[in-house]
Amino acid sequence: MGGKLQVHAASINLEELFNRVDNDQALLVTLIRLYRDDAPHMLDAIDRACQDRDGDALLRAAHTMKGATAVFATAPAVACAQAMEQAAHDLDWPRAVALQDAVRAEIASLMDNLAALSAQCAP
Amino acid sequence: MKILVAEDDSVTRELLRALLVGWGYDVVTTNDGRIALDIIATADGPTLALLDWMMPTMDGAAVCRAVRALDGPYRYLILITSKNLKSEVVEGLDAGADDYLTKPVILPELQARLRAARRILDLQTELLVTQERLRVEATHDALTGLWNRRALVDSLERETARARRDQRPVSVLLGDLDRFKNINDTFGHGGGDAVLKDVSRKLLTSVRPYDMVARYGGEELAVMLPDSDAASAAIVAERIRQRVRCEPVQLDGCQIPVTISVGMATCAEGCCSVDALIKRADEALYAAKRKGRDRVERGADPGCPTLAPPSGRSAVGDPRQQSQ
Repeated sequence: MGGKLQVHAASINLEELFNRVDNDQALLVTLIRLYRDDAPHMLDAIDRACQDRDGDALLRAAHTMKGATAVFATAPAVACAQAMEQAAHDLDWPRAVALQDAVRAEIASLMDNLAALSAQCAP
Repeated sequence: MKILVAEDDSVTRELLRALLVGWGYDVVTTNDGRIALDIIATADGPTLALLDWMMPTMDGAAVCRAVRALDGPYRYLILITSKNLKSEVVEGLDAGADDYLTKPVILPELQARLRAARRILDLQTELLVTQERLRVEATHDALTGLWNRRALVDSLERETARARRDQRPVSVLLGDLDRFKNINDTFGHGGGDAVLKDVSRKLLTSVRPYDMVARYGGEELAVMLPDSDAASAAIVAERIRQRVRCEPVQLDGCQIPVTISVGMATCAEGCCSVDALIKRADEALYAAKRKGRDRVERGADPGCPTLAPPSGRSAVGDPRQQSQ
């Protein structure tokens, strides 16, 4: 089912993604909508935690971002979120701040790709 | 089967919910650890739970620890985590988790771990059912379904102790079906069994819900009456006697007339031992038999109030009934 879809991003492993949702396109569309709704809030939480130097809040936000992102079988965005989680764990604020833009860029790119994928899945 | 998914990330939560619903589970979800604990702790709460490690208010490991402190059925807990460090896996298992999954969840692995969970829970259910069956078998009479003698004596020990503490009375009735051997000889042992079952039902429906009816021996039945003085117990005993006499047992189109002799004893203010109480009831039963059957007699009970016979029936049996 996933093989018929075209997504112009090598970052999403479609086969893995469709396996993950048991080849249920309607479920995939729902998950993409949830992710696109939640991701901006998660990014805001990461920014806020960096600004406040709140290690616990950054750890929670980065962890949640990583978990949600990993559902979509996308290695680069997950790696970025994981790096942010590690920075929070280490309380490495220079690294966390340096990662903020990269995380935003990866998540934005992923959301675009997911929007395109959702459009193809929608009836 | 009911299953809880506790996960603060809405994407993973919805993914798990949808998959589990598709596999036939009755799914409950929450994004909060403390709420997860509340859901698990409810009387008919799920016995299988997927718990995210990192959640608001209470993390998955803390939920595991709290669940293990709960009474009730065994709950199979699977921690879901993106933490893949062995030390953290060990920490999760030590906290009380039965298993763990790493995120992102791989379907065949999730299905396999759920199958393992169900095997354990099914085994647990089987054990509880067996335990309950053994408990019932150890405390009940197989023919009548009444409590057995041992259970009655155990309850009497507790009840007399309570009566002593609260200075309340407790009474015991011992009933014996009259001429039961004749019933067996005439209607066979199947007929005898049917009579015993029928009379047992009559006793059960003649007493309060918290009274205890037991099969004390072959055709001997007993009733424990908590918080009942001699006068109250005599009324119950007479009600039972009348009912057994007035409602013949129906068996294969035949009516089998049955009567019962009852001996009663009261332990005022819990002032006597169980052995003494039963002995006095037994002596009274013997007296009822000796005086012609189908009657209620009260055992010697020094210090207890004098029995006032219930209206319409003296402690002496009606001679016309003695021939039955």
